[in-house]
Amino acid sequence: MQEALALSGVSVAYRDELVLERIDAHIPVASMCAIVGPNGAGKSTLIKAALGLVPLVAGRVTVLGGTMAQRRAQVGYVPQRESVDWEFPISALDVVLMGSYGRLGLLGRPGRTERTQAMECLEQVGLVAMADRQISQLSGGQQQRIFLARALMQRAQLYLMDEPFAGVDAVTESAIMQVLDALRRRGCTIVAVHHDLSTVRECFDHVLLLNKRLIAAGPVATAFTGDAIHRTYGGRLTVLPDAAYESRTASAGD
Amino acid sequence: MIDPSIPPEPWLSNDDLWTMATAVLASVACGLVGCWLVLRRLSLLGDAISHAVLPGIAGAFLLTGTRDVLPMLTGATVIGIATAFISSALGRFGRVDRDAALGVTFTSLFALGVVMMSLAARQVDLDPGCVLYGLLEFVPFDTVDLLGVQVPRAGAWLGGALVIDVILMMAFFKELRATSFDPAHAATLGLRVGLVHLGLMAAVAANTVVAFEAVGSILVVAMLVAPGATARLWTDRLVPMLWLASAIAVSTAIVGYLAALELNTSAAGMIATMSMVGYLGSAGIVSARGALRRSASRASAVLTMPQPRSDRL
Repeated sequence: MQEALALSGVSVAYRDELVLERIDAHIPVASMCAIVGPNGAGKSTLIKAALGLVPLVAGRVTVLGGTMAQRRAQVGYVPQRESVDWEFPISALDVVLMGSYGRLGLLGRPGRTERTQAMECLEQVGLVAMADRQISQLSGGQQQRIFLARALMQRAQLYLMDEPFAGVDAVTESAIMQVLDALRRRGCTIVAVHHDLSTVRECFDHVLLLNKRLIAAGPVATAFTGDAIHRTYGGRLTVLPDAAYESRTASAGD
Repeated sequence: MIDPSIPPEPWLSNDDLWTMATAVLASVACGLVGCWLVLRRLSLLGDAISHAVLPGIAGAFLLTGTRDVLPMLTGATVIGIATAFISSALGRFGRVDRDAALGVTFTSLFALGVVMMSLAARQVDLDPGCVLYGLLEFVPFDTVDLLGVQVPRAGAWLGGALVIDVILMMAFFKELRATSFDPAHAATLGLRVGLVHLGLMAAVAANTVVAFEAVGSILVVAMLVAPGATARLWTDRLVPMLWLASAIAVSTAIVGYLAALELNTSAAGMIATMSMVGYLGSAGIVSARGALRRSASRASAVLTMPQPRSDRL
């Protein structure tokens, strides 16, 4: 099976502290992989390390059979919504157009073709009506979908997303899910940091359980076990899958 | 009685017009570059660089013994980029936050510059005061021949700087915009985020140096930040913001210069004061307008139906 993303022995440090330790993970093409783990587990760092945004202390990242630098055009990134200044004077359409900047070259600028494409991307996320709005006028869920549209504009093969469902309502969540499903049907790979353990089974087919080290990885059916989740979250377990309601209420006491 | 044979002295002499044109060019050049500092929330870094270029200028004096612009420009640009480097390195490794790192960097470089400046003043005809406050009033006495017209040397340099600023800004608009809005995403697209940042810092340093002779290294800060910050209050669009900032830069320079003539005071000081008046006035009007709009929408919400929220609070 061809791998969309392969991490071998990846370690990342901030100052003197290791935040990711020897991560080995292999994510197959056309899979939909959730990265789960407690706060501070290094989930965002893993995404950034894969993208080359943070330096590796050790290890290697392979993207679609090449290095990140070689495959840049085939990788789309959806950062955390909080990572940018939403007061920035720019319209929703212009944010989406940024997805084309990589292929435009040094002095190129987006033209009519790119505008049409950007409107199509806005249509996919249901925000055509918001094209001319300044981005601070959008709701949190709409801002999240604008980031998704910008990634769609990149026409990538692999999408790395940092909490695409954070702070969105149920309607937005299903709208985003539909877009991701359509991408996967086209053979794209999606890797997303995900917080809601209860939806991992229905939304994803692969999972990567992370707490500074890799706890478990693989198809949801085999890797996403109660034992692995417990080892990932330790005593701070808050939500269990499999509707294990009794054990959740029991552990909520501590 | 007025003697009709003597023509009345015009309100604005030729020298006044040249000086005003120079002030306008300085204001627009700095204001346009400053817009990007405002957008990147790096206004303090602009302040820091405009102070920190002083040792670069003084170093160029000491080394060359002349007041030529080119060595000063080189020295100051090098130091300007160094400031950006030093402050980010201190912020990263020194376990202090960015503001403190900047505060330490620019005050100590500025102090070093003052010391070097007073050393240089013994060798070269150089007044440290003119570097700090500028000598806008003396601009017309130092001219160069440009296509047969005697234009102020400072004005010619500033005009050149403005043309270069505009060309670079148009050529790299996409890069500037993407790296200002979302640098991490821009990096994943393959845009050279670090290079754009350094280029911007170099531009700030270069414009500061070219403008400092006219308006001084301290007042140049007002020209860097005020037009962009004021324009940002009025518009939510980037390109209109750049145009508006230019218009604000032009008008504060003109109004400030005329006010200084009327009151017979420092032109550079008056222009900086006018920038502040423009900013505070705009902030007052815009926030009053916003409050009015909010209370109006609240009133209509009470009168009609619960509305979807129209603004982010």
